[in-house]
Order: sequence, then structure tokens, then C-alpha cells
Amino acid sequence: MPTLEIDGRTIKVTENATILEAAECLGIHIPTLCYAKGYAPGTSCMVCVVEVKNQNRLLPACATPVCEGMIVRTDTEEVQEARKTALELILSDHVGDCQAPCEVACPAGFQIPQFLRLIACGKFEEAGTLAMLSLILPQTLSAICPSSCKKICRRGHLDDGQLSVDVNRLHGLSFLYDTLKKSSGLAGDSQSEIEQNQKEEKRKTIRIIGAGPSGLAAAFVLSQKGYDIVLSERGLALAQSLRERAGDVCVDNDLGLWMPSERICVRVQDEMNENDPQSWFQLRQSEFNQTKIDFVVVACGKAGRSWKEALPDAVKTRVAFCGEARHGCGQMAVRAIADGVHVAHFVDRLMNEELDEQTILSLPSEKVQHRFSVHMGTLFDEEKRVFRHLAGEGAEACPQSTSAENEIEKSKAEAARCLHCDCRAADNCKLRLLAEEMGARARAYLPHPIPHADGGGYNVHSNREHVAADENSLKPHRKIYRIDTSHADILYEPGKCILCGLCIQVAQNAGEALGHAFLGRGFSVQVGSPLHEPLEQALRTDPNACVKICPTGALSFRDDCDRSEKAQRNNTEI
Amino acid sequence: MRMSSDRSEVSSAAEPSQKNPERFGLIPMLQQVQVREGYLSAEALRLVAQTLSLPLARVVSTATFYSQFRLKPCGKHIVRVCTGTACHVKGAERLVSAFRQTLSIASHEDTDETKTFTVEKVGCLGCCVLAPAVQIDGVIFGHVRPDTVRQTLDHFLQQKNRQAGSASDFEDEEKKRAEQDVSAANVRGRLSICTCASCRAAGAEDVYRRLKDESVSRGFVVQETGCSGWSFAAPLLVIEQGETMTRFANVQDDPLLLSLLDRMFPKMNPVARVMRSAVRVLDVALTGKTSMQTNSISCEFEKAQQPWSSVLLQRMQNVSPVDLSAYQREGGFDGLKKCLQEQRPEDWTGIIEKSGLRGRGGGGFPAAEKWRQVWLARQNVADTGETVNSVVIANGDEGDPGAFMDRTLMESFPFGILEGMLIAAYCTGATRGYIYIRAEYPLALARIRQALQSCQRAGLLGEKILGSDFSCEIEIVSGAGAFVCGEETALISSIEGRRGMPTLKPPYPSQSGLYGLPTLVQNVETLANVALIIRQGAEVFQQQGTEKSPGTKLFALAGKVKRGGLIEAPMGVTISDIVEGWGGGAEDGQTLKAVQIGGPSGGVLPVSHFNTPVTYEALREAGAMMGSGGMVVLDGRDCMVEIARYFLSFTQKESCGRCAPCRIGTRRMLDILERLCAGTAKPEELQQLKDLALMVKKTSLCGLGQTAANPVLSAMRFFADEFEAHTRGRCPAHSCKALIKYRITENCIGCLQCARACPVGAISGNAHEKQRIDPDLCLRCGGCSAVCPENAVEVTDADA
Repeated sequence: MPTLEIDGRTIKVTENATILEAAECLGIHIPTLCYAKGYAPGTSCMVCVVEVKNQNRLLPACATPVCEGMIVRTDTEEVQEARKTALELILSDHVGDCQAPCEVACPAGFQIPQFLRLIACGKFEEAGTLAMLSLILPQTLSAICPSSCKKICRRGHLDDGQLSVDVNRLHGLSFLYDTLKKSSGLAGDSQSEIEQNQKEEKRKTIRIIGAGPSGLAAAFVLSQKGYDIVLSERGLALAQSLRERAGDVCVDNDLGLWMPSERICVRVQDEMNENDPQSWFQLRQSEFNQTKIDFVVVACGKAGRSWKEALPDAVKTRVAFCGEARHGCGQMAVRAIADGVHVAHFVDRLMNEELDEQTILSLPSEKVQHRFSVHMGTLFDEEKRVFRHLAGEGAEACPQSTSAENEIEKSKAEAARCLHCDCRAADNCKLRLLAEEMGARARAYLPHPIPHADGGGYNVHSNREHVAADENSLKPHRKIYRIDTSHADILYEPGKCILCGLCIQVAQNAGEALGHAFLGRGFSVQVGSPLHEPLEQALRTDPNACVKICPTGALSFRDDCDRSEKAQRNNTEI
Repeated sequence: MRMSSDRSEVSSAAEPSQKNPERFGLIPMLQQVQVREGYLSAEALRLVAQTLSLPLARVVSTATFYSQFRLKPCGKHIVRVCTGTACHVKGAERLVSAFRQTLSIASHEDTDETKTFTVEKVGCLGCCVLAPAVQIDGVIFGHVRPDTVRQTLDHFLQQKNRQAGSASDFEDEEKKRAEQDVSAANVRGRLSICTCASCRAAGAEDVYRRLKDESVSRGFVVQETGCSGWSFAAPLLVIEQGETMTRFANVQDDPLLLSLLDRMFPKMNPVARVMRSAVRVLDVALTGKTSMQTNSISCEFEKAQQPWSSVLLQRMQNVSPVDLSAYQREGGFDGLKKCLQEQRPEDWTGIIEKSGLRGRGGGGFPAAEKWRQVWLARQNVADTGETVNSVVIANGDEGDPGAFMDRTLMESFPFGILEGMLIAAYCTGATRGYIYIRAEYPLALARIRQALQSCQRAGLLGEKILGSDFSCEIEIVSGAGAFVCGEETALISSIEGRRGMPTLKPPYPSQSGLYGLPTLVQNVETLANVALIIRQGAEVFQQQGTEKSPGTKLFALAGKVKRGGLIEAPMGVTISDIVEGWGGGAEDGQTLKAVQIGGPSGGVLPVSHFNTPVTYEALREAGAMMGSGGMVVLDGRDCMVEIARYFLSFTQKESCGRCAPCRIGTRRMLDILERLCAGTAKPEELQQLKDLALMVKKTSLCGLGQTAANPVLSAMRFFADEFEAHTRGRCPAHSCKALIKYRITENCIGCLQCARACPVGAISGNAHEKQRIDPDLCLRCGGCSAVCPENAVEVTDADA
């Protein structure tokens, strides 16, 4: 029973225990990526390295056996830095997107591929809910959004000049929201949360000044979280500017889903004086004091600039700006909505005392946080072929239909044109979670330039002009994205594999006759089936276990609703 | 039809594994299939899997790990161009393109259209002094130049035809030797010549054959000996006549040799004598060379005499390497006898400890400590009721480019290594030994195999050695082309027939190694020393070297140095003693810049550090590493960024791919270095390179990754200004092709030699006028400046 010390705490463990197991006993968290309990450690990722006294290098905790008197540190700066670098190196060789380009392009971070999958398999209610929750005013946006998502859509980039998936038309389809209307909006979704808040002694009141896109978004999110909202609008109706551009019908349809709401008190033609915020605060001094107003969100457009300057010191930590008022410049409606959602979450955390009051002062400069994401960027020609193949022949862009039933079918067909660029493991990828946890940068190391054909390592340029012309070839380069579709149930994307070898162990334990193995050596080593045999042959017995143990999205299940037809294709690796 | 031959081939290859069930025999079997078929076809791999009842994935995974295995068809002969450090600095890349051009191989292919020759690169052939070297089907050619490529290929084909004509195999030679010994009564002199791989590359085999043919008629005895280490003078012919011994350097199978023989051993037949002298006169008239010049080269070689005495080399150079009785006459196997007769194994380990012998493989770990650990581990396991025999592995996987100590030892001193192994086995309780030899050293494999057979016959191997209770079997394992297998845990994986992937230490092989048994892994040079220590005692060993690093060490000196070769020097002599003393300094007209020590795990030391003593500690402190002892001398024409890039590209290629810091980290470091060499790196990338290098060093799993950054870090430390210059698009050494251009100066006399030498026709101009180089076409190969008689080709910065 050796005794050792980890981060200053002593523990006695069994003879053959590893540092990782010992740390676990002490409740000390050591991140792991390629390790899985019950399997031989692969010691491949080196994310679990720790410092051991009298060792001139860092050791992987998952595989290093403890010994008597060992002194381990898991939290030094060097250790943190080494772990981060290990992750960044793995990320520099990671080919695949966490999020689809359209999702990244959408300021509201709308999960477009998921939305399209839901439509394609006829789950309209879920699709509508998803659109509603991220876009707040999906039908209005359908009419006015410049649709960055469509500009970047890979479907439109395939070189036979196909059209992008018509996302904005799809989220403008009113039938998606029919059931939502019947079930009186989205109240049901967060009912429990509201109840939770109602139990509190006193409900909090938030004044939102301005009922434009950002103000409405903030009002919606905060009301969902159980706050009482007083929404002031200078004009005659809510979302005056949107009505002018998109028309009353869209806006009313959208607002009809959650307005009127018992939590939101709307004051149109409010007497608020944009030019004189000072007096506005003075007038409500007593309300602030009696906490009849807990917080103010200023969302009154560019005019918000004068509010910032006029803010009395006493209320500085109880006012937030959003939308154009925060940025002081014109914004797309969808960006304003995203900003409203972002600020609303911020306010919520502030009210729940998760955040320091002082942080409010930093809000004006804070960017809308996106999740960590790896991007492939522009596709190579080979990759375009892969994607085109994956998408199958696909439906052509569908013309506007007239009859309702036709409308539904056409929409499904249109949604089915999505290439599903997002990662199937986006939410449970250990690599992504660790990268977020450690603040790793996805592009810390630029991938290698194209080596010279003779293996000299770099292109030999005959003159400076050539150097200039060839500089493209020295641009960041990466491995080619591939996907193995030869298995009926699972997909394999080698670019996302981190070479932990866990699936190899699973296959070995299952006694696969053909087997799954590391192939090649060094930088080009890959996990795969031997001699290009189909994956179906290599992973016969227990493919599900392989997918489950894969720490990234390299092995994944084929999606249930939209890929079933494509699964029929007996194509091997593309 | 092919399938059936395949099948029998596969099953016959499977036999050793059936004889020895512990052993998978996968790698030897794949090797045999490849020898027969030329490559490993999909069907062959399937058959191997079937025969050994292994999953196909196991077989393919192993086959794709080792670079020796080819998975696609190749030509009849394989041309392996050495890209070791010495060959690299002497233009190996240019040679590769020359071979490809001569054979007109298409850019994405590696085989010519007639499927006769396949051209590939190889890590290092261990013939660094004869750089650039090329191996064609096991025959090595030294000093190959782009303009002699055709000649080399023709020479090879001629040799091939000759061999096909007279099928003389080894046994014939044995017989001949016996005959010769009988007629030794009227011997007029003794001739010895080293025929190790490096000397063969210089032409020693042809000379030996010629001498053999002449020996009977001229009445002398000729024998093959081990190497003297004077590779720059190879082939070196030693003639003993009575008391006098004369050495002749750079002997070739040409009329000069015959005239020399005529002078020293005149033929009995007067007619032939007259004819010879006529040839000699004619020859002098034609070539302007006389036999006197052969002697004058030997003067140069006398300068390489060292102020210290060598131990191993001394024993190698006088006796035939595969002659057991000759080895025994010199006291061979006396050490083993002593071990077996007197005292207990622990006491002998004590003697090794007293001698202070440290591992010669690079790390410098005390040998006796390792032995004791194995002995104890074996006993610890034995305490549990089981009796466990440990294993001894001799590591002859000398993969460092620019090193050839182990090759020379294995080729010239096989019995010394085997004796050392047996002593080590006795002291660690091992009953089985493996000697792991690089696949690129076919001669070493052959000689060790022959030596093993001789030992077997003499009762020095197997059951009850020399009548004692000690039994030990030794088996040869041929590597399959993976540098990482020099790392002990990877080596063990490889012997077990798996991918040569290192594992985390601890557990150390001494605790749990081959098949989980306590295993002693020791470099062949260490083992060769063991035999001598036991024979002569620890005190004799300690007379040389320093207190912490006693004894002598073999160093391989090559590169841009006047005299290259294998040197045995006491530990603690300075680098200057070796490079400038023994080696004679830079080549004519050049200045020394640095010496690269320890190959891809070592570093560069600038001239200002040449007074560093060669010990494990001092070198590590200076930022280099002993490594296995390869020294490559660099001069003013070598760019240190490019050298760093070269080493990193080597380790990057040889990384096993297991851990991310080594697999991806070395690749990202190489990216930066490649950008530096291309002049496209930003200044801030130097810091990133350094940070990454330190991180790779700290977190890699095995020795390969942990030392991979050394060449880069030491170059950055001593030549920081060169790295910075590259970020500004300048290469001070004018070596990086993307950053230079060639120009013809006013000195040009218009002789057109450069235009003829240019492989791409980039030089134009009329005869007797100044020529012009078209920068768009120019490859920056330097061929023009090499041939210019007026020194009229100038290299400048690309933007100058």
C-alpha cells in the first residue's frame, strides 16, 4: 500500500493503482481524453500529464503507476500549459466542423442542420419550437433576414452551382408553429422554472425600454425565466420598425405565440423621453429605491447612446444595454435579437448573483459568446465530391407551392437537401468540452504547407514571381476530410479520430476476425480496417460499443430520421 | 501458379514460429514473403494471417508500420539512396533526383518504366565517410555523384551478371581458405584487407577478389580482416613481409594494384612480368598516376595516428572477423570461461560495476545497475514460487543517421559481441538472448549469423556451455526499418512481432520486458566492452577515460572533414582532438563551423565549443548528447536552420505516431522550420518553435520524442542569428534554395562546361562569351559551380 502526495494531500492506495486513480480517490480532477476506465491506457493524448517530483518530464497520470513517497502536482502552470498545448496540437490535426458553417454564420446561432433534419422527417412541432427559441421572431426574420446562412451553405458551393438550402423560407412557414399556437405558446416549456421562481418571496421586475427586436428578445427570454417585465414602446404598436419592413402579419403571427403574456406588461406610446434619460431616472428614483424596478434594459436603438452618458451613478449597476443601444450602430434584426437573448441571460445570471455586480460595467464591450468550434473552412475539390456524394442526388431547389399539402412535401424535400455539415457528436465530444474547459485555441498551429513532390519539404521556386504565385500552396493546409459510409449503422470520419485506439480494443475484446487497427506510422497513422475492407466487416460484433466509447465524433451513429435512405447505398470510403 | 508458390512460401516461413510457440514469427515471415515476392500483396497478407491464425488487422497493422515492407509492386532491383546526415550534407537530395532523372521515373512513381529499378531513400547505410552512398540490392556504392549515376548502375548490372555466371557461395570460399592454409608453407607475405560494408562500398571486394586470384601464382596469403576505422583510406591494404608491415590506402582493382603486386610479389613467369611492366609504363603514361602516389596517400593517413591507444579497434583490425579460432587465439572467450569457472554471477556484476562501464547506446546508464535490476527482478518473481529466466537483448538497431559504430562492430567483431552477451546472460540469469540487427546492414546480419554457427559448433552456445550448468540460446532478429525500434520498449514490441510502439516506462524492461520477463537490453558496443573487462579486469578498463566515464568509446566521424572514419578514443578527449586532430579539420579551402553529435537526438556544437570534453555530462550540458557517438562535421556552406529541419524531418518520419506531442508536435515544428527555409516564416514563429520544442521534450512518451527537439534547440541556441536571418528571407550560408540565386560573373570565359552540366538547360550564351542563367529554370542544384574552371558562378541572396 504505497502512500503518495497529490497537490499537498496524502493518500494511501493499492499497489498497482495509477496516479489518475489515486487523484480520483482524493476528488482531484485530472482531465482525460484518450483514456477510458476498464481499458488499457493508450497514452496517446497526453492531456492527463502531471508533474512528479524528481522527474524531468511530465508523466501521463492515466498510465503511471504510483510508488511510495511520490509527490505529484496536478495544478502547476507548466502542467496546465502542457495540457493546453497537447489539445491544441490535436486540434491542429482535427479535420471536421463542430458546427455547420450556417450555424456559425447565423448571429443567433440557430441550429440549422438540426432544424432541417426535424422538418425533413416531419417533426414540425419540434422544428417550430427550435426556431422559435433561437430566433424569437422566426416568421418576421424569414421576410427580412439577409440570411448569412444561405450565403455560406455548402449545398450552394458544390461546383455544379446548386442553390443553397432555403433556410429562411423554411423557418417562415406558418404551419410549423400551428401546434405552438394551440398549446398557447411556449409557456409549457419553462413552466417548472416559473413555478420555481414564484415560490420566491418576491418576483423581480425588469423594465425594458424599447420593443424592437432586441427588446422583444430580451423580454421573451426574461419572461420565460420568470421575471415580470414592463415593456415600453414609444410607437403605437410593438416592433414598429419590423412592421414597417416585414408587414404586420408576420410580426403578429410571431408575437401571437407568446403575447399577450401575463408576465409582460406592455406600454405602448409610453411617455419615455429618449432625449432626456436623466429625468427618466429621476422620476423613477423612488421606484428604484422601493425595488419596484429591479433592473432596466435599455433597448431603444441608437438613441441608447444618450442613455449611457446620462446614467446616474446610483443605478449604474442596475442598467444594461442591448441591441443597437449597446453597440451604438445599426444592426441586422437577427443580430439584435441574438444580442437581446445574450443580454437577457446575462441579466438573469446577475440577478441570481452568479455574477459580480461589477461585471455589468464590462458588458458594453463583451461579445456574444459562441461555443468553441473547429472549422474546416473552404472545401477542397475532393471534399466537395465527398459532400455531394453524401447528399445523394438530392432535390433541386423547389419552387413556391400553392396548395398546403404540396407545401409540406416541398418543404420536406427542401430540408432534405441539407448536407448536415455539423458534427454528430457536437454536444458530447470530449475534445470539444476539454478545449472549452482549458481555453484551447482551435488554430494555434497552422497546419503544414504542401510538401514538394520530391519530398524536399518545400517547393523550390525558380523566381520571386513564382514564389508569390505559389504562396497559396504554402497557405495553411490540412488533411483531406473523408467519411466512411460502408457500415449500415455507423459512420467513420478519420479526420476526427484522435488515435486513442479504444475502438481497436473493443473490437479485439469482441474477438473480431478481421479486426480494426492502427495503420501506417507517424503523422500519417490512421485507425481503420485492413486492406480497405468495409467497416461493416471489421466491426461486426459490437459497433455500438465502439461508437459509445469514441471520445470524439469520429465514430457516430447514422442519424435516425434523415439518413436512412442514404444508408442504403453500399458505398465504401469516399 | 503464383498462389501455390505463395502458399508453400508462407507455410515454410511459419516453421520457426511453430518450433517456438512463444514467438509469433510474424515479422520474419513477412520478410521472407517479401524476399520471394518483392512486395507484400493483399493475398500474401491474407495468407500470412490465415497461417498464423491472426486477425488480418494485426498483420496489416504490423506490415504498414515498418518501412522495409512494400505494399505495392516494385522493380527488379531496389536503389536505396542514403539520406543520412553525412550524405545529406554532401548532396543526397541531388543524387535522388539524378537517379530519377537517369532512369526517367515519372514524378509520382518510384519505379522506371521497364520495372528494373525502384528508387527510394533510406535513413542511413552507415557508410558515412563514403558519402553520398547508394545501396543497390545489398551492394553499396560510395562517393556516387550525379554525373556517375549511369556508371554506377552499369557497374552494378555488370557485377550482377558476373555473379550469375560464377555461382560462388560462401562454402566455396571456406574450401578455398582451407586449401590456401595448406600451401602456407612457402608464403612470401601476408596481405589483409577489410571487407566491411563501408570498405566494400569503396571497392574492397573487387580488390579482395583480385588478390585471391593472384595469391597462388604470386605466393602470398590474403585474408579478410575487421575494420581499422580508417575509412577515409579505404580500401586499406596491409602487406606484411617478414618483419615489415606496409599499408596502402585507397587501393583499387586497377593496373596500379597489379604493378604494386609486381613490385612486391613478382610472378615466377618472366613473360608475364615483362608484360606487367609494359602495362605499368603504359599506365603511367596514360593516367599520370604512379604507384608512388598510393604510398603518398598513406602518408596522409599516418597523420591520423592518434595519441591514445584503442582497445576494440586494435582487436578488430588484425583478425578475420568470422574466424573463431583466430578470435580465441587472441584470448577470445577466455572471459566467458573465467565467468563460468570462478565465482558467482553477482561477483562478475560487481567487476562490471567496479569498472564503471556505462551504456554506450546514448543514455550512459551504468551497465552493472541494469544487470542487478534484472537479476533482482528475476529473483523477485522467483520468490512467488515460479522460476523465471530473464532475457538478454543486444541492441544493434543503429538507426542514427551519421553513425556506423555498431555496424562496424557487428561486421568486424561479432565474437566479441556474442561473448559479451553470454557473460551478460550468465550474470543476469538469462537463458535466451536476442541480437536485434538493422535490416539495412545485411553484412552484419550475415557475419553474426556465421559467428553464431561457429559458436554453436564449438559448444559455446546452447545447452551446458563449456561443460558448465549454464545454457543459453541466441537468436538473430532482423529489424524491418524503424528507427524507433532502437528504443528499448519499442525494440521489445518489435521482437514480439508487433508494431514497434514504445510503452511508458515504468515498468522498465528490467522489471517486465520481453513477454513480461525481466529483460536486459544493452547496446552491442557495451557488450563488446564487457568481454574485455572480464578478460582483463576492471583496472585495465579504467586506465583510459575519465573517472565518471571510464573506458574508450567509438565515434563515427564523417561529413565535411578531411579524414573521416571510425575512431576509438578515451572518454574525456575534446571534440577538437577528434575533429581537428584525428580528422584533420575542414576540407581544403573551407572553414569549420560546427559538429553535429548524437544524430537526431543530439545537437550541434559550434567551433567555439570544440574544447568540450566528450563525456555524457559535458555534452548534455552543452546542449548536445552523446547519442550513439556519430559526429558529422559541418562547414561554412551548411545552413544550421536547414540542418535542424533535416533532423526534425527525420524524427518526424520515424515517429511511431502514438503520442500526440511527438506525432503532431514534431510535424508542427517541422512546418515552422520548412517555412523558415522557404523564407515565409514570421519572426514570432521562432518563439512558438522554441515553446513547442520544450513542450514536446517534456511530454513525449518515449526517448525519440523527448530528444527530437534537441537538434532544433541547440541550433537555435548557438546560431540564433541564422534563424533570425531566415525570418527576413536571407540564408547566410547560401544553402536554402528558396532564398538564393545563381549568377555568372565577369570571370566567365565561355567554355560552356556549365551549360553542359546544367540538368535543365537553364544556362545559355555563345561560346567564348559570358553565359547567363535563367532564374526561372534554375534548380539551384549547384552543378554549374562544381564544374566551372574559373570560379565564375556566384551564389547570392535571392533578392540581391
